[in-house]
Amino acid sequence: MSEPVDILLRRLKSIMSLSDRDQEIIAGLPMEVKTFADGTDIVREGQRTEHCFTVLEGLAGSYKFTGDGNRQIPSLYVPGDVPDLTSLHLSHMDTGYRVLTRATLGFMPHRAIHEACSMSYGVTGVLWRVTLIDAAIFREWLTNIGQRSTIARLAHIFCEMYVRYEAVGLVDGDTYSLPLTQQELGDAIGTSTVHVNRVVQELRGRKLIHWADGRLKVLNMMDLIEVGDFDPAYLHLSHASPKAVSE
Amino acid sequence: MTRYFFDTRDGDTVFEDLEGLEFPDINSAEQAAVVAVLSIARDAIVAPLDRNIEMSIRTGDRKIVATYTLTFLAR
Repeated sequence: MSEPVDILLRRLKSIMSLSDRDQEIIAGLPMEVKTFADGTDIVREGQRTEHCFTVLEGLAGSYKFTGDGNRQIPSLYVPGDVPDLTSLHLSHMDTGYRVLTRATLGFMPHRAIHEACSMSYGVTGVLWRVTLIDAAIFREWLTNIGQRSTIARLAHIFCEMYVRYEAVGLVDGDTYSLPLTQQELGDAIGTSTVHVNRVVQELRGRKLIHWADGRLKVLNMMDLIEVGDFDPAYLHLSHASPKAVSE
Repeated sequence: MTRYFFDTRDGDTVFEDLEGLEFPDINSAEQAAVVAVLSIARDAIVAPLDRNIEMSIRTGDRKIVATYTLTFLAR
C-alpha cells in the first residue's frame, strides 16, 4: 500500500542511495497530512516553526516582498521536496512559503527529524544534501534572472521542472503538472505577465511546448534545452538526463 | 476583468498577441505594459545599433488604447 512518505523517499533516493535501515528510519517519521487551498500560506516570513513540511501533492513556492510591495518567487517545490528544512537549524523563517495550487503537505516534527538524524549518519547526510541542492538551484535561478534572456529563463525553468518531476516519477507522456498563473511565473523569472505571455506564445509558436489547463507538455526537449541553456548537473540527481522527446 | 492584447513591433519584426491577458482595469494593464517594454528592450538591445521598440495595448475589438515607443539611438 502506498504511504504519504513514499514520495519523500523517492525524492531522497533520487539524490543518494539509502540503506534499508535509513529508509525505515525516514518511513517511521511521524507525519501529519494536511490539504491546503490554492494560494494559502504554509508558513510566513519571521515565523518560528516546530516542524518541516514535505510536498505530497501539488506545487508550493517560497516568496518574498520588497519594501514597495513587489513579489519575487525565488523557488518552486514539487512533490517530495522539503522546502523549509532550514527551519530545523535556523530560528525563524527568512522567507514565506505558499501553495500555488491545491496541495497536500506532510508535516514532520523537528524533534522527530533531529532524533532520526542522531540515529543515522545516512539520514543526516541525505537531508543535508537536500539543502545543498536547494542552494544549487538558487544559484542557477540567480544566474538565470541576472544573465539570461527572458525566453531562455522560461525555457530553463520548464526544463528544470521536467527533470525534477521526472526524478519523482511524475512525468507522464512528456507532460507534467504546472498549475502556475502567468503572474506567478513572471514573479519567478523577474518580469511582467505581459512579457511572460509573449514568451510563452513564442515557445508555443516554435513548437517547443504545449501549456494548457495547468499541464505542460514538452514537444521538443532538445530544442528547449538549447533555448534554455540548460544542463541538469546542478540538480545533482543520481541519473540526470532529460531524455530526448523528439526521436 | 477586461482582456487586453499587447502587440509589439521591433523594427520590422511584428509580434501580434493572439491570447491577451485579463486585467481589472486599464491602469493595471498599462503598468504591466511599461514593465514589459523595458524587459523586452533589455533582451533586444545588445549592440550599439538604432532600435525602435513599440508596444500597443488593444482591446478585443482591435481598438488601440495605448502605445509606448522606446527609441534607442546609437550616436
